[in-house]
Amino acid sequence: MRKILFTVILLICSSANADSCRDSDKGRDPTVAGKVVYSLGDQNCIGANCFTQVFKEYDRCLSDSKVLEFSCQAGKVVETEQTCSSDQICRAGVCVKK
Amino acid sequence: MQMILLLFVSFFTTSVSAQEKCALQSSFKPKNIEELCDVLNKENAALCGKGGGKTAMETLPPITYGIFSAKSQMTSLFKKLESLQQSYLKDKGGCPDGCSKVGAPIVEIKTIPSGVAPHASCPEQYTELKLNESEQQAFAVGQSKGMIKSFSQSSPLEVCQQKGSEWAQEVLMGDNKLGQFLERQKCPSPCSYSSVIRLESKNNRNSGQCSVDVELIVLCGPPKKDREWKTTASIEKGYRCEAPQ
Repeated sequence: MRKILFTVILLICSSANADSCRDSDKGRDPTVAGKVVYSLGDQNCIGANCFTQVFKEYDRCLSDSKVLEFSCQAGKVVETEQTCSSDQICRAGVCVKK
Repeated sequence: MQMILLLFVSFFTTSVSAQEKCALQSSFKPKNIEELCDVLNKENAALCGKGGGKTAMETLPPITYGIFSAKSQMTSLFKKLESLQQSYLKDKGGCPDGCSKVGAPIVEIKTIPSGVAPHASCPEQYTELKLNESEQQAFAVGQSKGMIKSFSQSSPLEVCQQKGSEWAQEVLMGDNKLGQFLERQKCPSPCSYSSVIRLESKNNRNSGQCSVDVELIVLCGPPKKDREWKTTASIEKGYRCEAPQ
């Protein structure tokens, strides 16, 4: 019973914001310069005018060895700090060979 | 007969002098002249396309929220804006005879992150990206507050809306030429975009033709630091009377 309830909740959460987040590298790969485009809230209309608020973020270096990766999960943007491997350095949002 | 002639001459001189005043004084007191021209426009109310009332801005208190509360906060903000618009239109009445509809007061909305991580290659403040004339021609878009593109075809309205949304998403994602240009020339990595996609739908049921204007307002600024945003919204209280299409 709990399992069914959990699945239903998960389905509702994922469908509520479907397609409102797009990730160029489709994952959390620190060796690819990625970007995400995601909506804040849904489309809202006033008369014939409908508005959507959209943000765009690029993966970026937090230090020489750390990269802030943006990705999408269930239509929401997710940020993850990732550490480059010991033979890599972070440059322009990507872990590259030293 | 003399009386009629006198009346005619007197009317003619009054209207000419009013217009001359408008032109003559414009270099000295533009604010007063604007008011005078407003009066002249209002007297000429049979003309469609003229302003139907004096415009004024009403700004709502800013809202702050996180990604998980964004949907409900935004919905509530738009409900407030819609209610402001409705009460304004109700108060001000309609357009003169012969004009088909009352345009909506213009809504302006802007969202920026609460905290940012300044970066040398990004503007300090979130700034609107504008295209110059040659850029507008090159990418076949217009420029108002945002970049404007129109979609029109013989299809249900949803098809035009879908096409308009897709175009805006492609630009933001850098999947088309305009999007790539913005990424390379106007707002390069790691700067953030804060944008508003506005779709204005015009459905002509008789012709089966759908038409949608997309306005894409893009602000470029420093990368955000946390997951909190601040949205400010205002409504320009004015309306337009348009000729029937």
